[in-house]
Amino acid sequence: MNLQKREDDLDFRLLILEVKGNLVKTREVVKDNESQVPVLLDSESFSREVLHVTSTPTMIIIDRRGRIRCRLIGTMEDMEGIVEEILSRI
Amino acid sequence: MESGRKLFFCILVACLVISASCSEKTRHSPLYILEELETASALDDPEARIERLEIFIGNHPEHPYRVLGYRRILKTLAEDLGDAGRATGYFDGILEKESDYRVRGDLFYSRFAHFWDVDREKAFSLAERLLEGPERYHRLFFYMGYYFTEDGGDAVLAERCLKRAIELAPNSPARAQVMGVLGEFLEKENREDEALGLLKKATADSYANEVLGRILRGMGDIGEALEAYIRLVASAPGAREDVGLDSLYALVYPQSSDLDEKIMELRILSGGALPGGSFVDIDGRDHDLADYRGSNLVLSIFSPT
Repeated sequence: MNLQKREDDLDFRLLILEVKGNLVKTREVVKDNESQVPVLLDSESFSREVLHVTSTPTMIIIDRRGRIRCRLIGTMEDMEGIVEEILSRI
Repeated sequence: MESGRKLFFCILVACLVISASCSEKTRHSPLYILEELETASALDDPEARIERLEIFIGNHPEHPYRVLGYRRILKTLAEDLGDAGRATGYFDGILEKESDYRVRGDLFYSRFAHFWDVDREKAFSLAERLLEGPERYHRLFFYMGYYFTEDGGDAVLAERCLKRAIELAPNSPARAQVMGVLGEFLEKENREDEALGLLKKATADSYANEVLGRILRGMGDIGEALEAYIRLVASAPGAREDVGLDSLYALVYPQSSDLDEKIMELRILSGGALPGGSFVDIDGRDHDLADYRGSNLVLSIFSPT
């Protein structure tokens, strides 16, 4: 969720795609993290069936031309640094 | 006056039509459907909860979220009411009417997981029955296979289930994921040559690379292990410290300092187009991924549990 604070200076948009349909828990997490990031409901299993995501959390980075440039899975300590590096190269 | 009344009537009808179409749209919104599910699920009285959940399913008989309704009814029957017979009856009833192989697979998995906790023999027997039967949701067999690889499991059933999952996997990432788990199982069974043969076909999967790296390192093939770990860390940055990548790299290439560059070369993809998709968010706002064209987009795929 810290990534949201870097949207402006790293010039990207952040979206979350929730895959379990667990509205109650999702809202708790959003509230606990004081997040303003849009949390989209993946009701049709878009991430699994179309993006072929096999586990969560997965982060997909898409460039301005709409091309998938990176897929990262699992948690990572320096998420901001990693995303910054990738965005500087795409 | 007459034309004034007619105009008023036309405006009134137009307002009613617009209002009805907005209500219709709202009713089909995934957010509305989930709100209905959560309202039904929140009822304290188990029988009332079951009744409301059945109404929910009846209201949305084709929607993917109906699976959540089924699961919650089964849980209420089996756990809150402790009525195994009724849970079985309900489960059998769903199977008679459900033809969607993913819904069936998901429900069979819920059943299997429940039996695993309360009656291990039933879990085993269900798995054997499913392996002989027509079910084709690869995740069902994948998850069951994973359970069987754990302590208290069964090696034969683990292998059978995981191999069935590989056969049924709909695409290569899904296949590679199962191959990673099967590879690790074979490693535990001291069948490392078989594991290697399998894992080398699954290098698109980060977990498969982790297992492959571990086996190769154990065999003394440090160079190949390093390549596997670099592939792993390219897609799973959090694994870098766990596998000791930096020290292993220094061992193999003591004069080199280009590890980060090698990782980035693999991490940055040449990129297929992001498929289109429209969604509603938890605040009821519509989003279309096409609207984000022109911006760099970071999509975080998330499960709250």
